Amino acid sequence: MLKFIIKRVWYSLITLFLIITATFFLIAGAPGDPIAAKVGQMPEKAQEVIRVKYGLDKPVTERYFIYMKNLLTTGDFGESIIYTGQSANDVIKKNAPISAKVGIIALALQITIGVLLGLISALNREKIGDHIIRVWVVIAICVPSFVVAALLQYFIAFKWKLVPVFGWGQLKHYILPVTTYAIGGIASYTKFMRSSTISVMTEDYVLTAKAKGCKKPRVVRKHITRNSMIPIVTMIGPAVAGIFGGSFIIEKMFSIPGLGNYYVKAVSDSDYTMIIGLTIFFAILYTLALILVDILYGIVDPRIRVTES
Amino acid sequence: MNSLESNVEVLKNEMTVTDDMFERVGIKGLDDEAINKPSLTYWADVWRRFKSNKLAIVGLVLLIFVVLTIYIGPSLSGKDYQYMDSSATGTAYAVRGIDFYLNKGENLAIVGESGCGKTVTAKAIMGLLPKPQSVIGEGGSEINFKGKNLLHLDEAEMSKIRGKEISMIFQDPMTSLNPTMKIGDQIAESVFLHSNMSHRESRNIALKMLELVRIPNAKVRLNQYPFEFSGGMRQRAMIAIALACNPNVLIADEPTTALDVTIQAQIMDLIADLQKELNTGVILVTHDLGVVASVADRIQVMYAGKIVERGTVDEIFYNPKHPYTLALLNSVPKLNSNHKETLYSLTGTPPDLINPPVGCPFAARCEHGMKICRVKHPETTSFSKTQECSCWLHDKRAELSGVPEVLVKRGEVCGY
Amino acid sequence: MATKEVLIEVKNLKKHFKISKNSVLKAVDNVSFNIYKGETLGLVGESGCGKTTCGKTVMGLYEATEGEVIYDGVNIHKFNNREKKEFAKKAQIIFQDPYSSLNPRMTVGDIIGEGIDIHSLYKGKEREEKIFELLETVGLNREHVSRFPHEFSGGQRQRIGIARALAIEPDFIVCDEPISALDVSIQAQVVNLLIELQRKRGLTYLFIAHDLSMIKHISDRVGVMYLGSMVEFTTSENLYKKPLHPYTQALLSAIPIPDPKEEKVKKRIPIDGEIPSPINSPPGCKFASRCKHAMEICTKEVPEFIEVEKEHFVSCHMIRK
Repeated sequence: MLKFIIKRVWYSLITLFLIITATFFLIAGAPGDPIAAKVGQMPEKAQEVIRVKYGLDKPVTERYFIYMKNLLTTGDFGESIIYTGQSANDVIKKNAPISAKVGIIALALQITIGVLLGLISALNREKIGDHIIRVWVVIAICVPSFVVAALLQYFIAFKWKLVPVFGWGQLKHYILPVTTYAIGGIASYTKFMRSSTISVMTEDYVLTAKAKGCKKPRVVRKHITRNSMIPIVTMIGPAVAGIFGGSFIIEKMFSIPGLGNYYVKAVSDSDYTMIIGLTIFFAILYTLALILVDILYGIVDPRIRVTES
Repeated sequence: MNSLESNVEVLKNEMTVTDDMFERVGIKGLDDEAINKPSLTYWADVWRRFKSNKLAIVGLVLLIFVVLTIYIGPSLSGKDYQYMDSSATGTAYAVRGIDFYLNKGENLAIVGESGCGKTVTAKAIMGLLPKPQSVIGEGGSEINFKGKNLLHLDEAEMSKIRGKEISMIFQDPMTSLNPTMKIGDQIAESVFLHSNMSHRESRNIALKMLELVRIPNAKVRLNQYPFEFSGGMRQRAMIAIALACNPNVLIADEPTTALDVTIQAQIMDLIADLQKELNTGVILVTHDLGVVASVADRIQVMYAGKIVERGTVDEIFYNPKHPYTLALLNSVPKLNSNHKETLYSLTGTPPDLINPPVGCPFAARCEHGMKICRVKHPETTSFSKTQECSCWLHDKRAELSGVPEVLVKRGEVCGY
Repeated sequence: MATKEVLIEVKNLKKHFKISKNSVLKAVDNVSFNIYKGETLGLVGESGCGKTTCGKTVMGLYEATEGEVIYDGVNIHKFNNREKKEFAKKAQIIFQDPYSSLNPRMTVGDIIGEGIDIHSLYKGKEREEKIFELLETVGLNREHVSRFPHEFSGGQRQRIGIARALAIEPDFIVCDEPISALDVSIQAQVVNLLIELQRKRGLTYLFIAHDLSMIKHISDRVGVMYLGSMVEFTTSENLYKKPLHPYTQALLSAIPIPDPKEEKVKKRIPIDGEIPSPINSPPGCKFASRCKHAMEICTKEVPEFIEVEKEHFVSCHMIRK
């Protein structure tokens, strides 16, 4: 298992390197100019000064090597061109935890509720409970999150005044964004859990368990749940990475000072350092999440655990 | 929405810009209130406009329609359909009125081709047929075990019998063990369920069972997972699970079909040995007459949901009375038969059990078929205490020209 | 018998699959035999013995790792693409699983006609007639031409598979366990059909199966494979009357005989354990680990594949010329 993880980390590093390089050159080659975006009409000369300050006057390859050197020696993503005085690291440090909080709570809800609903739905197949859950799943998947957000804001916050619409810091501020964030996820986990449970229920070993004399609750607990969770694990990886990216739409609609907002803005402003810095950050998270999934797989599925060690 | 969005954008943008070349343009009063108000009036406005807009309502109805279509879609997909199709539903008459018995410690073989209802029979005894889809009997059916009608027992009572008194092993050892559970735990589970033993004690029994089914290195094997076992080993583990509680009846559903010949021989020997050792009654379900020749005491041949013939091993092999039994025997090449001679073969395929034929189900493929065969199901004729056969050829009025002698000859067992 | 014309000569054929850096699966390891024109050669062995890989390599579906397959005087593994296509016209395969080997979205007519189209053998009306004729040859009828595979039973599908293989009029057909997925009474139908077609069209078969009694029935000569090696190779009569290799003997005795009396007196030669993994197999005779007669030499040296008597090859240290 350890050897396997080391191998995975090694591959991840290569992937990261490729992502950084590709992003760097793609951004540099893309149309748009951060200086122009930032200051608009400014004397040519002043622009020139700023350019020199950020090293934008140098050729792309040279910039690349300077950047990589800084990144590898100090782990510094560089100073933002738009938000002067703030480095990309600062922005991440300040805003990632906020996105993460919302995301982690939402993800925890998604998985637990989704898995539970999926199981309930599958075990009561073609009964009324199953039908209700399935109709709900389709609606929740179909309706985009900004509509959900708007509806929640209108009814729960504005009409019934149960929670504040905006604001940040207190527990009550989490309720709406987390709900919005979780609903779509719950629906897709429910859908996957349902179909995976149904296929596990027709497996021969479930019949074996029944033939042994297991009663239904025990069959579900001991023989079905674990096996039907295996495909769910695959979905968790990208979801974990997504936490930090936050949902741009949700952060925007609830005015949450998370990372998603910054990312989108950085792209529209051609803020080189921010884009690359955030990309690297997300890429690292993503690869970490994939490694995590592999470890999770090992825990759930002995076939992977034992063969790899 | 657009104007609002861009508004907020501008506000926030300039909030965060702290450029040393420009004086900060602070916008005061950028608090929750400032954003709240336009936003909420905006949405309230949208809602109001929506309510008064017929087109929007039509749109919503359309959305609901789309949602419903997507929702209804999956329930017609392959999985559900096949599931209904492959099990004994109300429409497919998989087993059509059969009766048989199993003596204590006896080995009864149920032989027939795929779809003849042999597996459905086995699962019906265990109460393992999927519940809403399959219907057993219309009141008149009975499966009696130790004086109890198993069909009248509820799920809880049935699970006390399953694994303890009646056990079952399945065809494919590769899929019939839980892939995420240790072999030892899977064997111990059935002991644990049916006794007052602790987990540790039942694992000790599991170890003994693994040794009993002759798995070398049982102590290590106990803690392994099914994927670390080969096919033959898995089937041994299945047998260990089934016999762990020393049941009265073991139902083996094609236990060796998925295995190689040499492994098949090992497994059949094992079942036969354990049967004698533990005095278990065995119902052996198979399509291969060769397999049962050495182990079965009695054989019953099934075709299209009916038992067409039954008898002792010798009676069935040397004195078959039903043309289907004879065809099954003849279509297997013998090791001492002539090379490349045309094998005896039946034409056609078994009948569709959704619309089972009125008369003898075998009539369409039978070369000795008569008019009567297609209109009326034959009565059962008995030839000895043990041998019975349902075929019109044994009626006094039957046309016997061209019918092999072995089929019609009465009395003592005639050799081949 | 003596003046049989050799159609295919397989010389020291090896097919190895690389599993990882330092493990190799030797699916076929140094196998040599020849196939006469118009005969049925049976390949028999347990699952994982390499018989299917051997069959597929012989007809060029797999590249050989080493060795030669000489068909009508030319090595098929040296063909360029055009020659490969030409060769595909001569050699065809019938697969084991009649359910997965037919494209479910193609009609029976299209499945059978595909080969005809690829090699542009017939066009238009003629093509249609040919497909009808093929359907009738395999015991189906014309109306079946526009149906889809799922409308047929296993046996009928296997007939479609046979018609597909016959469509381009090959000389040589590899039958890869064509009957093992079928019911007993249907097996007999398919085997009879194969034998009849061979008589009528002078086909040459390489018949792969694990069912020894069926192999015996259909084959002229039989090769027994174990873990990628050919352990015994002889006429089918000889094999059943006088098996020499301990593995062949065990295999034969394991076949259940559908005759209770014979079965009771029959002495089974037990064979312990299970077939070991073909990955990184140890040196020496591959059967040594399960062989009751294993000697010291068996674990060290691979026994030579020698002709002990006419048309009877064995690879075992116990048997000398």
